[in-house]
Amino acid sequence: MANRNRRTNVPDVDNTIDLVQVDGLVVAKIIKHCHEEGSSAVDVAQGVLLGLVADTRLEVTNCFPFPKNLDENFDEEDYQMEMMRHLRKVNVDHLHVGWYQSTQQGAFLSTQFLESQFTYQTSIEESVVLIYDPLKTKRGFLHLKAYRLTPQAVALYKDNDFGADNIKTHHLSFESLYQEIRLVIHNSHLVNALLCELSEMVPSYEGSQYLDLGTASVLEKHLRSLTDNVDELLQDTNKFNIYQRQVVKQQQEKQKYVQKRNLENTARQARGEAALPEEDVTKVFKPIPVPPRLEPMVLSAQIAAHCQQVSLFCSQALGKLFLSEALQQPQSSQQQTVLKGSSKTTQ
Amino acid sequence: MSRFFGTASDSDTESDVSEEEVQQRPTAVPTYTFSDDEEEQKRIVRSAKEKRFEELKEIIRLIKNYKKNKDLSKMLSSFEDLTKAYQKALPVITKEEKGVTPRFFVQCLVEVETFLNELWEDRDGRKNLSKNNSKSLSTLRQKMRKYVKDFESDVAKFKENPGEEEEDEEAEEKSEDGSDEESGAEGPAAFRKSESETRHKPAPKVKPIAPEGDESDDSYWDSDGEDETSSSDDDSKYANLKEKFLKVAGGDEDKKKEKKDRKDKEKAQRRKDREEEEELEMEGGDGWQVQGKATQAKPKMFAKDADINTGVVLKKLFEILAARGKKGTDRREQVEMLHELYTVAEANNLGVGIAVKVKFTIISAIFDYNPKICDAMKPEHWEKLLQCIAELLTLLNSRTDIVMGEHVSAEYDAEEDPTRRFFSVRGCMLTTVERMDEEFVKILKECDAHSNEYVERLKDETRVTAIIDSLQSYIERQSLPAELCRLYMRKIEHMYYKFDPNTIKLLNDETKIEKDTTLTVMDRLCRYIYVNDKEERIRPRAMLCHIYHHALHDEWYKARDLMLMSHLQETVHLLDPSTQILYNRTMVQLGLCAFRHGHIKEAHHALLDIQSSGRAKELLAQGLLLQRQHERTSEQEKIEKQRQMPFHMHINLELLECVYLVSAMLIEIPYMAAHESDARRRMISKSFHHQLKVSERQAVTGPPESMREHVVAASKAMRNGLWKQAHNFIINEKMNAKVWDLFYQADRVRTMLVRKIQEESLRTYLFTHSSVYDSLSMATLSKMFELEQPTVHAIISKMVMNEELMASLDEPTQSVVMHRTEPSRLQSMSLQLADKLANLVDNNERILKIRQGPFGFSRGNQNVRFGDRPQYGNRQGQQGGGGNWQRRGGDNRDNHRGGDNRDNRDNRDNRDRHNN
Repeated sequence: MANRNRRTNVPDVDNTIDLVQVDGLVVAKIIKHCHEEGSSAVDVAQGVLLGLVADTRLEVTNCFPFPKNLDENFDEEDYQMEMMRHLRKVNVDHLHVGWYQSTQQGAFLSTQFLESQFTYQTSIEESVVLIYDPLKTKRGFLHLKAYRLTPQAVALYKDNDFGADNIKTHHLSFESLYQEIRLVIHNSHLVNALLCELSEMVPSYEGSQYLDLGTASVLEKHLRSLTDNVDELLQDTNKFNIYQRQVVKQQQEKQKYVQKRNLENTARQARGEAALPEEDVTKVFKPIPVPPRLEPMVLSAQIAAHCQQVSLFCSQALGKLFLSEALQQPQSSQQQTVLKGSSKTTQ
Repeated sequence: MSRFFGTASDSDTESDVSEEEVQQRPTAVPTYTFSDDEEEQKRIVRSAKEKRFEELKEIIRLIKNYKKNKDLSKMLSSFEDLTKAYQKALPVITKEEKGVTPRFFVQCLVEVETFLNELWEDRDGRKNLSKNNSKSLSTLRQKMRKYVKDFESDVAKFKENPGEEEEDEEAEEKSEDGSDEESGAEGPAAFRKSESETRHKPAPKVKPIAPEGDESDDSYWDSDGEDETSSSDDDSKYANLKEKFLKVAGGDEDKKKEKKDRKDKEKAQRRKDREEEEELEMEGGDGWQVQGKATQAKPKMFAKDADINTGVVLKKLFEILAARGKKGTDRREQVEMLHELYTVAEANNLGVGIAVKVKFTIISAIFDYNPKICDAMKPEHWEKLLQCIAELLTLLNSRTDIVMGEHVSAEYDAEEDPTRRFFSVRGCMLTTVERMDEEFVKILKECDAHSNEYVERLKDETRVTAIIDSLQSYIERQSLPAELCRLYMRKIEHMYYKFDPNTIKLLNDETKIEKDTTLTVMDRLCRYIYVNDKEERIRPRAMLCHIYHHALHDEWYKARDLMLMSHLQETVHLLDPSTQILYNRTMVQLGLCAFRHGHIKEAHHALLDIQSSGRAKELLAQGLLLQRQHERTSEQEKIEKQRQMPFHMHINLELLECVYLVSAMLIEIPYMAAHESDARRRMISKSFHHQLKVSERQAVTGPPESMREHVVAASKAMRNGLWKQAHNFIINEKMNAKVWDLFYQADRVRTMLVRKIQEESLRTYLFTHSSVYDSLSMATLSKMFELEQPTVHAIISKMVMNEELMASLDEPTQSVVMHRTEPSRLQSMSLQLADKLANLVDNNERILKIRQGPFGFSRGNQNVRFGDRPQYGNRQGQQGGGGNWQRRGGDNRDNHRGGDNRDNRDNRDNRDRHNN
């Protein structure tokens, strides 16, 4: 379980929440839901988290899934309120504290994702989003993470201006778009006791998937999504490039225009005529719309996340490989020498 | 001015033409369309005149009666009778009365007109008229106004002095005629024009004034005066024009051609005008029909007893020629007159010079017959033309003492030069034949290509070629290199696209066939042109035809070398469109030839340009393509239509496409297999990929139907190494019928194709499946692809040599041992990503560069890979804001490296496991 806290990157973080405590029940429910519905590449399973805030700790005690709305006029709001009301009746925590979503290979970042988290955080301050990766869990690593938007990102969203300058004033970079919150799974003592008992009963061959040495498929998937993201980013930079060139061109034209204007005015003055009326230069040269920088930022963040995942995976895989090498060596040392000799002859 | 001036002057030019002459004429020109009874009447001329006049007078009497009774409907019908009768009487009048309208006729017209005007003015009276009558009144009034316009001058004169004697008028007319006499044959044309103008001009002027009774008369007077001036203007203009023509006729020889061109253009323009004019005439009233007949009645040769000698005939010839291209001239009549002149000249034994001259003029007159350049000749004219030219050429060939050419000056024209004992005739036979050839192509294009008519016309080609051959012998005698070049070019163009089976036999069997093959003839002709052509236009065409011919006869290497030597590929875009079309055709033929010889790559290359655009039809000028983006103007369409090839010269487009697709398949499929995971893989053939994609898009693919589907199905089979299936798709009965049987030696092509499919399938198989094998037995491979082992050996060796296949051959076991140095999929993906990242960094650099201004860091901005640490280091100091991306770049690089290392490890591990 490598829930690394990245808060160190962001020193001036708000301290509303610094720990998410998730009940075992919630984890089990999320896993069940996501495995059922969110395992294909296209679909994402989503749901609502319920719980309470205690100091800087967010306790998530229950959750319920969103249905896959097949119907056009399905009202999500209504459904949520209804559910919460019903849950309240059976004495379950009914305070809305966030939402969860399944993901594929960690590719969950998008503008929509940020936007919905923004609306959550503006309406319910403490809300978090839990990201769960069913594929990784299948390979033996429970992948459940909690994220929040950083205050800067929230501020940026509030401004609703994603130009480069505004991003700069908010001291925002792709790394400080969102932050990960430490996540703890909390179980009652009874459950813990049960788990201890159950672990005894797990047959010995179970869990061998942790030692799966194949890396290619995972890496390929990561690489593919990386390539896609890089492609998109490339297009964005191209756009920005074009924009810059246009701006420069316009600037030059503007200067020319002003100069010409001034010359004409001096000439007119010399002739004793009235100067030309001051015209608004911006009217003549309409400002070129600045391409929004949010998209590339999100893409960069996504790329960064991918890279991190790849490096994490690689370090794990390397460890496993060394382990297995050590295991293999005593057995096959003799065979290998023979093989090496034969391969020399073939070559 | 009288509208009969023209005709009057006509009769005047023929000065002493007596009645006998008139009688003689119909026998001389049997094709005249006069009805029998008319001819008879002409024989008893006096009575004819009286008869006609009586007829007229009778009708006039009737009209007078009706006038009294105010029976307008009957008056209308008799007025129509009157106009018809007058029309009939017109030839008589022109002859007998020198074109002066009979006085009683004019009188009647005036009377009727005034009567009608009175009636019209009397509104109350008009209301009382019966419905029938009032209707007739208005129509009659309309007709009257139209009709009277033709007689305006007469009417005017009549009104001026109603009581005057006819003789005076006649005298007056005569004096004016005299002035017109010089303009000779110009007369009718000029008059025609002025006539049409008078007709057009007053019409709008009169109409609004007309209802005001007396004033309308005044207006007639006014317009009348104007007409006179304008028509006289016209006359002088035409006199000038005539002078101009005369000058042209006697002008310098070197200028002649230019002028001729210009004249042709003018002529075309004038022809167009004339067409319009004629249309108008058709719409016009009855009076115009009269006019038409009058001009038809014009041709008259010489007096019977006149002394016919060269000079007179020549004069007549010039006379006829002068009328050429003018508005009023009947072109058919001209041809007939010339024919007649020819027979006269023959009959009087005026010598070959005149005969040639006249014949030549006949030919050009036939050419002239067609008013529009883009339209084809009528078949009967074509027949005549062919015959004439053939006769003329035999005439020229039979005599050695006739010099004909553009260089002959006008003074010696058609005259026997006593000092040199030559007949010099001015005119260029070559141009004529070239024109004829063009006409031939036009005629072919006019026909429906799938009809019997086309075949019939195509049969004429032998005659055309025969004419060209006889002209060749004629010009060879004169030995003018430039002309000879042009002629040879004609000959070549008739020859280059025709396939001569003898050539192939000669090539294959080495048996001596005594006859010259077309190939040798082509060779000779082209060589002559290469050496002697001074203009740069003929040479490339000759070369292209030469190449085409070689390619057609499977002389691949010769054709290719010639094409390469010609360097036409570089300059072809500067040439005129028709040559470019020829170039396209040649390239296509070259491609087909390469294909037949199994040079797949070359074939593909040659056909690529034509096929890739999807406009093969247009590029080869074998039909107009519908254009979606922009409509053609009619002008453009005309031009494009002119460029089209006649059907028998077409290259089969389906064959072309099939050959292209098959060669693309043979190249592309192995290439695709070899570069499956390569990001920078380029498409060799776009249209082939397009076909593949189209078939992939289909949910269910049935058995192939069209040629394209066959090829696509074959490609799919080939991709999987199923060469037999591919073979069956490419070569089966359907495809044989559609494509392969079109080749001359179809079987040879098919065996070549099978062989190629086998080889390329083997290559594809090796590319796609080599990663699965550790080693492959060559014996198995040769069995799988039914190739001999040495061939398999050769193919694999070549692949190893070209580093396409990482393997080595193990001789003792006859097997291929794979080396596995190909990057794994993961590795190649990493490489792709690395490339993309490099691009990204480039882009970022560019953004920063603009930020920092042009003088930031100009060094090494291009091609920055993120492996170049030192460069980063250098720049670190200069740029403050770029921290992020630098770090990113570095990170990525590290990741990338890490990945590589791991992969290597992976591989090793895999192998280890494998070994275990």
